[in-house]
Amino acid sequence: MNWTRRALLKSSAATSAACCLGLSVPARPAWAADATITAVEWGGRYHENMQAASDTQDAIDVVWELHTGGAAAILAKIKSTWPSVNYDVVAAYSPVFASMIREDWVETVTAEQMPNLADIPDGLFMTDKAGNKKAIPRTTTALHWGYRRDLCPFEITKVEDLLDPRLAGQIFFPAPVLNSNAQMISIARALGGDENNMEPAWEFVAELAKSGNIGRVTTSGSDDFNTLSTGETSVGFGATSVFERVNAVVPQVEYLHKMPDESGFKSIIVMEGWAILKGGNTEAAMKWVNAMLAAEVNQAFNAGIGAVPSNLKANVAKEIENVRFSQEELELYTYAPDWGFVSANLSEWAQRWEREIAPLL
Amino acid sequence: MFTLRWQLLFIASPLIVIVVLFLGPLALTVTESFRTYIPGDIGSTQGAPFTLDNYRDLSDAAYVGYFADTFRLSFIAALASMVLGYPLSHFIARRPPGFIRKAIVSALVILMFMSALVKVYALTIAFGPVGFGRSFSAMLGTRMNGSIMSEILVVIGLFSFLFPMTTLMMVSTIQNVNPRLLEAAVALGASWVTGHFRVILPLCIKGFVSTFIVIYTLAISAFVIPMILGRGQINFITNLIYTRFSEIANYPSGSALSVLMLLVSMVLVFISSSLLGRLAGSQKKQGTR
Repeated sequence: MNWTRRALLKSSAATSAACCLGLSVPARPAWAADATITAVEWGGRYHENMQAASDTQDAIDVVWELHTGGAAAILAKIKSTWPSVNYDVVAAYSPVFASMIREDWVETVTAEQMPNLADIPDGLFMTDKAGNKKAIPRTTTALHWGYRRDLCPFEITKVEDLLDPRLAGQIFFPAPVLNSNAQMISIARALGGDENNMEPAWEFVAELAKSGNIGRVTTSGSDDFNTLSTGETSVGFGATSVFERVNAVVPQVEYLHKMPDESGFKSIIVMEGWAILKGGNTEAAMKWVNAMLAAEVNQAFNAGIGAVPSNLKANVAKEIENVRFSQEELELYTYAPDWGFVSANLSEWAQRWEREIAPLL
Repeated sequence: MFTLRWQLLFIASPLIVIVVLFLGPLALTVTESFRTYIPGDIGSTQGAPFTLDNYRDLSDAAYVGYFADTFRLSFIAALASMVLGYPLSHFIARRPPGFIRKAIVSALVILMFMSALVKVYALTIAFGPVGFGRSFSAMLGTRMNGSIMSEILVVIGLFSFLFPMTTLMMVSTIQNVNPRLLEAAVALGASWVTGHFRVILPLCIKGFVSTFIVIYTLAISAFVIPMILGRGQINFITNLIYTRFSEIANYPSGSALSVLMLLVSMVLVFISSSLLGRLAGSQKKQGTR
């Protein structure tokens, strides 16, 4: 290619503008596509793999904005400018979608508009009260306990083992704002409660905090990965994708995701996907999300992040076959909370953590 | 010469900026702090009824603990910065302009402009399991993941943030004192340390008080340092405010916490500046006696 002075200046100006804009870097030059949308995505492997997935099509360009902290933080950003929207598509997960649907921010989607939706089980969609499909699933994943065999001083077989003094400072425990407090819901389930009755979990976690076993309170998936992969802690609760990532670095991770009933460990199933916001570039957003849900694209993306694709025609990568749940396993080992209830109670749980648990750490 | 109209316009311009960009948002925050919050909503709904519940919730003893942690750890870090920054400031102030002085000042300026995140993550690595965290905590007789280590790390983080600024601010204060005064004190039999305490300190106290107030205010409003180095075991009020606004969308409670933080900080800064000002007065009297 011959560089002219004009081309050089144009390229320099574009690069400077992109650098000034920080994370909002256009994936491809705008003049190459029919339309441009702004999509919110998680960082790290999620962004890398979604960028690769997006590159499989030419029709829509994407300007990325990455989540900072928990995905729920995006709610405040949307609220601050609503009804004007800065995003067309938001990647998030079940409890965040529950809040967005309650606020009536999300477009209804149908298989007529987006043909690839027909390949996704209806049960995975999140709907509004009228039954309209709102949040679009791209991944099913689980949140569960796990530990590093090389660092954990003994084999963990039941929830009560977390109180063992040999685990002093060895547990990473996510704050309620992370995973929408699924960690405490899982403990509540182990002790006879659930999201409607969290008292057993509060008592247990207070004991855990007093015991000194909690060495780090994590507030993001990166925290989970860093603390476990560096060996700062050896036991914790997080997404399968986090444990997968640690296992890729240190292949010593024991997943406590398919544990017998008497262990008390239950995996919490969550759906990750997209919400298309009202008032944005809806048509282009639908076109792009539909392209991302094509079987081979959905398969490649999920293989990259270590999760199970939502498209029934997509295959699960061999290396994560062990984290996939069959229908029978779903019934035996997992629990799906009422995310609407969870998101409505998150504020109270976060404040109760501040009042009752954090001072004991 | 400028006409009266132009002069008024010049005075009014910054006031307008302050009103629009600071007092306006502050008024909105105060109003929001009295709004009723419905769990699950994102912020308060438009026209939500007024309530005192958001402030009542903060009357729990646990929040006194968060305020205490914020002010206590910030005080320790600010004081350490002043005490350890003083010898270096004095060294810089009394050194003739030359390479060493330039090098030290440049190093401090670079440290001051270095991103807090870089410093914080450098400390995280250094005091983590891949650094010397285990041996350092063992030396102190505690655990690497214990809350005591988290407190120490937050103080070290705040210190690394404040130290360059403190030192540079104190240099300008010390430069205003005639160096002959210390020499005279030493010539008359005072030790070097006594000379500093009895002569230099009283003459610099006003500048030092101002420096302390500036760095203390910066320390209590630090966010990234306690968030990362505190490991969830140490939380500053700023971290709680962030959680409310950005993670759980409970704006009324976040606003109440912000207003409370503002009031407590103002009262504390007022009290400490009054006390230190009084101390400065008495020191000056002693010094001139």
